[in-house]
Amino acid sequence: MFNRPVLTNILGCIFFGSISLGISTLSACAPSQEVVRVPLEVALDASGITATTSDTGWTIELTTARVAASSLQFTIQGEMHGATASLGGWPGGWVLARAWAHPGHSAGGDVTGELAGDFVFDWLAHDGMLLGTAEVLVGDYKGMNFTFRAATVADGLAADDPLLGHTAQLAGIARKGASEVAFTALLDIDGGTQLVGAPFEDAIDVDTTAPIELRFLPTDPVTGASLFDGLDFAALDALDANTDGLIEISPGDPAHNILRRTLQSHVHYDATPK
Amino acid sequence: MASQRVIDARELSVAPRRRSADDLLRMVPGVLLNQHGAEGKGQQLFLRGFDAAHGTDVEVLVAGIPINELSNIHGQGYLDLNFMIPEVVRQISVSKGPFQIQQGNFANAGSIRFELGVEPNARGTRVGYELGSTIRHRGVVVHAPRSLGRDSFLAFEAMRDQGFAPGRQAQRVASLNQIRLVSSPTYGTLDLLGSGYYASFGSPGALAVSDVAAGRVPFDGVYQSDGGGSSLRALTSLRHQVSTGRGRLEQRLYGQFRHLDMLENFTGDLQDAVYGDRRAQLHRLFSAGYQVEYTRPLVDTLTLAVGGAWQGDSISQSDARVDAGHGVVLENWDLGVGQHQAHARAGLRWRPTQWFTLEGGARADLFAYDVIDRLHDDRQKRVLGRASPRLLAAFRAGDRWSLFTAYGRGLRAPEARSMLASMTTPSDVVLDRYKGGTAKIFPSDAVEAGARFTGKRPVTIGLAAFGTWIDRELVFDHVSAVNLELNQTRRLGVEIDASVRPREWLELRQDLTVVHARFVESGAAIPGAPPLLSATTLTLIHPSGIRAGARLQVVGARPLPHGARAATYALLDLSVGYRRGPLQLDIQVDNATNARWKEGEYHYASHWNQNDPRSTLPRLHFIAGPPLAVRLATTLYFM
Repeated sequence: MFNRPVLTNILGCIFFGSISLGISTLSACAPSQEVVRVPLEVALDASGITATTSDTGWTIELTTARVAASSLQFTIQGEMHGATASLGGWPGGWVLARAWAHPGHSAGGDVTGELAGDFVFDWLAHDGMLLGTAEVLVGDYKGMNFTFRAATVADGLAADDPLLGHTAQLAGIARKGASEVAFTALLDIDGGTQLVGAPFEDAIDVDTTAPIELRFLPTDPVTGASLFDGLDFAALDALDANTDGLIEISPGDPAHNILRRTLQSHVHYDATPK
Repeated sequence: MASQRVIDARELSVAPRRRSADDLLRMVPGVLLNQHGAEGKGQQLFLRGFDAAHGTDVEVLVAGIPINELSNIHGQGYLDLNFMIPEVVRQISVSKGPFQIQQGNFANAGSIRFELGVEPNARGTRVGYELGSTIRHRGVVVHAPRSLGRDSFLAFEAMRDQGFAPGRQAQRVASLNQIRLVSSPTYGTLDLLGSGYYASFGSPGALAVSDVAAGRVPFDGVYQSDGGGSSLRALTSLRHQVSTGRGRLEQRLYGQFRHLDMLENFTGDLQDAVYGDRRAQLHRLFSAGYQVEYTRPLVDTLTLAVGGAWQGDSISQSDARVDAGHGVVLENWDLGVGQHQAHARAGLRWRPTQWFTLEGGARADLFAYDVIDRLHDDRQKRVLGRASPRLLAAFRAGDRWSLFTAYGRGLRAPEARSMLASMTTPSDVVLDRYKGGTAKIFPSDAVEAGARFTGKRPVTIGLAAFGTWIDRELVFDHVSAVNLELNQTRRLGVEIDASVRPREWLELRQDLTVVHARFVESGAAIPGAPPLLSATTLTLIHPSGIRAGARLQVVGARPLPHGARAATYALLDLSVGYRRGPLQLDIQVDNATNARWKEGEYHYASHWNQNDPRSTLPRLHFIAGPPLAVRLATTLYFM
C-alpha cells in the first residue's frame, strides 16, 4: 500500500505521537500541589523593652507597654528587587501595601503566614504569654504586619481598665539629669490601621517548630531612633495641670499625636524565632 | 528562523477547537491559553517562559494593526481577538523572541501576526451554521467573489452559547470586511478594512480547591452568578501598497473605537466584609494610527528597510468596588488618558552569497502619556523612550540544513495608570510605607540559535535554543498602586518541531517546548510559566473531500506563587469533516477524552463562606476547563 519512504515517514509519525502520549501518561501523575502549612506558636517577648533615650535627651524606662491589635500576618519578600524592598538600610523594610489577587495578574504583598484573632500585647505584665498558633506557609520570611484596634471588655479587661476604648497604653519614668517624671499615655489609633513591615527574618520549612516571639522595641535597633523622639517631658510637666507628679498624655494632646505617630512605625516591633 | 512558523489557511480550516479566532492562537506552537472568563473575554497567554497575562509580553497584529491595548483597565497589553472571524483568517505568522526590527512593544516573548483574506480555492459565497452540545448556535456568512483577489471579502458571524456550566454563557455578532478599492500598476493597491464587533460574556470566577473538595461548590460551579462583561470594537483601516521603481512602499491609516466593561469577583468578601469584593471596570478608547514601511535594494546584495508608526489613544477608564446591586462602594480609579506611541526603525539585509544572510538594525520607541486622575484632581505627563537593536544571521549548509542565530532587545512600556503610582499610595498614616518606583520602559535581552533540517522527503525538523534575560522587570500593582521592580530573571529553553508529510493530504506534526524560567539570584521558578508544552497535531485534507484534524496538547506542571504547583494535563481535540459539492459537514470534538481538568490555577487568598475564619493565607484556586463538547457544522458553498 505504501512505498518504503512513506512507511518510514509514518513510523516517524508514530514515533512522535508516542513521545506525546508518553508525556501525557507521565503528566497524569502530577496533580496540583498546595504549599505545606506549618503550625507555629506565637508568644510575647519583653526582651526588647529596654531604657530608651530620646532626641530631647530624656531616658525613658517603661513600666507598662500594652497595645490592642488583631490579625498578625507574616510576609515573604518574594522576588521584589532589594533596592526597592529596603528603606534606609532597614533590613526588614519590605513595607508594601497588601495587594489582592486577580488570577493572571501580579499581586504584591505576599502574606503567607497568619495568626487571626484579637489580642492585647501586654509585654511587661505577661512576658512569654502565648498568643496562639499561627499557620505559616513554608518560605523565607522577611516581615510581619498587624492591625491596630481599640481594646474592649471582650479582651478580658476589667471594667475600670484604662486601656478600654483605646489602642495603647504606655507608662514609665522619664529621666534627664536630676529631673525625673512619671508619665502615662493612652493612645488612640484608627481601628483598621495596619502596621506593615516589621522585621521577621526566618526560614521556615516543614520541620520548623521554634515559636515566634513578638517584641516591642522602644529604640529602633538600626537608627537608634526612640519611640519618644520629639517629646520634651519637662515641657509636658510644666503644662500638666495636675500636681500629682504624673504626666498624663491622652487623645487630643499634641504629645499624643507625636507618640501615636511613632507607635505606628514598623521599626518599633519585630518578630524572632525563639 | 528556526522558531518562525507560518500557519496557513489549509491548516487553520481543519484545526480542532476553533470556536473563535481567539482560539486560533492555540495553533501557535509553544503558546498556552487560559480562559478565566467565558468566550469573549481576552485569554491569559503563556509563551517562552512568560506569563503574558492578557498580552503583556506577546505582540499581536491583525492585518498589520497592533491589537494589544497599552493601557486597558483590565490588564496591560489586553488582547481581545474575538472580533476576527476564523473563516477569513488566511495566515498566522509567528516570530518568537524580539529579533526583527518591526517587532514592537510587548514582543518580549514574540509576535503573532494574523493576515486576513480568503484563498482562491475557498472563494465564493458560503453560509454556515453550527450547533453545539452546550446549546451553541453559530452562523457565518462569507462572501468572497472569485472575480476579486484574496484580500477582498465580506464576512458576518453571529453566535450564542449557553456554556458548559454557569458563568460560561457568551454571545457575539461580528462583521469583518475588506475590499480592494484600487489596483493600479501606477498607483498601487488600496485596501479598505472595516470591522464591527459586539460580545457579552459571563465570568465564572475561580473556585478554591478546598471548597470544591468539601462539596461546597461543584467542580464547574460559581460562587456568584453576576460576573461577566461586554466588549465592543469598531475598526477601520486603509492600506496602500505601491512599487516605486526598485523600492516598495506600504502605508496604513487606521482608527478604532473600543468599549470593555467587566464585573468580576475573585476574592469573595476578603477585602470588604460588608459589601463584598465585586469589581466593576469600564474602559473606552478612541484610537488612530499611521504606519509606513519602505524597502529598497541598495545594491544587489544589500536591501534597506525603514519604517515608522504613530498611534494616538484617547481613553476613559474606571475601576470601582461595587455591592451586590452593583452600586459603587469605593472608586479605585477614574482616569482620562491621552497617550501616544511612536517608533522609527531602520535595518539592512545583506546577502553576499546564497548561503549567508545577515540582518541588522534598530528601532527607537517613544511613548508619551498625559494622565488625568479625576478622583484626586491630579495630572501627570511623561515621555519615555528606548532604542532596541536587533541582529540575526542565517547560514545555509547545503540543500538540507539551515542554521540561525539572533540577538534582540525587546521592550514593554508601562501602562498609563502607573504614571500615578507615586501619587496614590497612602502617605499619611504609615510613615515608612514604600511608595513605589518610577514608571519606565523595561528592556529584555534575548538570544536564539537554531537549526532546521528539510529532508528530501517531506520531513522537516527544527531545533531552537533560546534565552531571555530581564534585569529589572517592572510590574504595576493595580491595587496598591505601586510600581514594583522584580529581581533579575532568565528564561532558557529549547523548542523542537518535527513534521512529516507522507502524502500531500496528510501531515503529522510534533511541537515540544521546554523552558527553565528562574529568578537568577534565588533560583526560584517564575510563577505561571509552563516548563513543558507538547502538541501533537494531525492534519488531513484528502482530495475525496474528507478532512480531519487532531491535536493532543500536554501542559507540564506550572509553578505557582509561594511554592504551589498547578496540575499537569493532557487534552485531545478532534475535528472531522466531509465536503461533497457545495455541501460541507464538520464535527468538532473538544476534550475528546472528557478529561476533568483545571484550565487556570492560581494561588491567592479569598473568603467565600461566612462560617469560615477570614484568612489572608493564599490557597489554590482553579477554573474548570470545558468537558467533552461536540459541535456539528454545515456549510453551503455557492461558487
